[in-house]
Amino acid sequence: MSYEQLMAHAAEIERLAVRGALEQKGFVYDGNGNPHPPMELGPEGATYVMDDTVKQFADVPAMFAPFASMPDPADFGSMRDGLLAAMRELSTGQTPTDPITGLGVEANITLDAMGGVGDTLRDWHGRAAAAFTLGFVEPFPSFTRNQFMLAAILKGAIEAEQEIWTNARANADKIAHDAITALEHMGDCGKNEWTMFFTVGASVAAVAATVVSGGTAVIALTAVGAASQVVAAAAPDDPPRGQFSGETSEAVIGQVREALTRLATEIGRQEQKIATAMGSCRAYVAANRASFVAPRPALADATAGTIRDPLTGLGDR
Amino acid sequence: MRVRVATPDGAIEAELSGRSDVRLSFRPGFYERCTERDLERRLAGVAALLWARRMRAYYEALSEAYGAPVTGEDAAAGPRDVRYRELRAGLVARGRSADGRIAVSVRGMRDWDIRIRDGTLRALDEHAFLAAAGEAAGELIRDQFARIARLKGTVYG
Repeated sequence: MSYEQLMAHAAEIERLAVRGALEQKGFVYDGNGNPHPPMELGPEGATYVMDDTVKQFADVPAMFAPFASMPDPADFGSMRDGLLAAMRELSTGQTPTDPITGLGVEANITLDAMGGVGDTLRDWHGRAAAAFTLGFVEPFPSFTRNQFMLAAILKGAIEAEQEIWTNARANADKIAHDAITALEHMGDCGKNEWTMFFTVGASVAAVAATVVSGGTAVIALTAVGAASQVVAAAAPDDPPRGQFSGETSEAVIGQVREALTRLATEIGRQEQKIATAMGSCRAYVAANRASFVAPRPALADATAGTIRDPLTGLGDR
Repeated sequence: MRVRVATPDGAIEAELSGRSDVRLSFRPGFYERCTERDLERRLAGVAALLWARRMRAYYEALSEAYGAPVTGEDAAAGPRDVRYRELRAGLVARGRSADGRIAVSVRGMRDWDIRIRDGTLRALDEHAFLAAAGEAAGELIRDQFARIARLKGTVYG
């Protein structure tokens, strides 16, 4: 893929646009690539036409410039790997698979030790002991499972983001290559037309990720993932398609401008899908904190004076 | 792009390289047995064959460049397309050898007309004739492209 040469391609597009326009005005290019004006123009007229034509297409590189510095999907790699590591830490026997991609996530067997905590604390009585059992030990599997889901949801969003930029770069590169092809073939006798599939427009897929509430109720959150990786419940969206044509340099460059605008619009749409899903997940977590973390224990506020108290400390009666 | 054709009897081969570099060759002994009128007729047939093969190669190259199959023109999409195609069908392109002995013309890249001045086959050996024919063909192709460029500029500009 030649995305890294996007600006070099843009310069080539500018050159071909100028050449095509001059050829359509009767200029003939020799074997060394030098244009020769038609006799009827005269030297002054020829210079004027050439300067005017060069000026007409001078903004072509600027059209491509914003697309030359799109994020590198690889730059999100360490963030994504960090979230996968978090999922591994939180993976119990109950949730062995990534809900977004369906891939296995190895279980963290140290979490199994939580099951034996109850036995260890059998001789501990009192309000603090009861609160600890009720608020921390018993819901621990649910907390772990739900936090696992959150890590998976975040990872899915990062993977969706990577997919957007992978496709956006490929699409920008294709737009440039198609423009070069169109300008090179414009001089041929047939109709000059081409089709573009904006694969970026099918980058992000919606996926349901479930969390448990109150120990039993199952809540489905709308998460997102990379369309090429999600466990799809339905057929993936067809990428949006554009039909382009142009018989003059001006028309072709106009179509290129339209294609780049369309690309930017589709990027925005896909980003919005991620933002909307993340926004609603965040709102759910904020409103249902108790499903994800234990309440702050009273012991956290104990002092040397209260630590033995049976009601507020570790005391037993 | 490089395309090559041969007449069914193998008497004449033609190759087009790049945009307009045309080279012809004859089966041994063929040139000596020809008349100017024979060659005019046979070369018109070769020209049609070569151009048809060129258009096929052109669409194959276009399909590869766009990454999608392109096999021909879509229907005219408006009055400008209609006008362009009408004018294109009547476009006459010409070429001639430097010595003026061979003149070629084509209308709409379909109706080929080859004129070989009487006495040419006596005056030129096979090698010189083939070079002259290639020259005339190349000039015709360049003339066609130049006229198409101007026509598109006029109709669509």
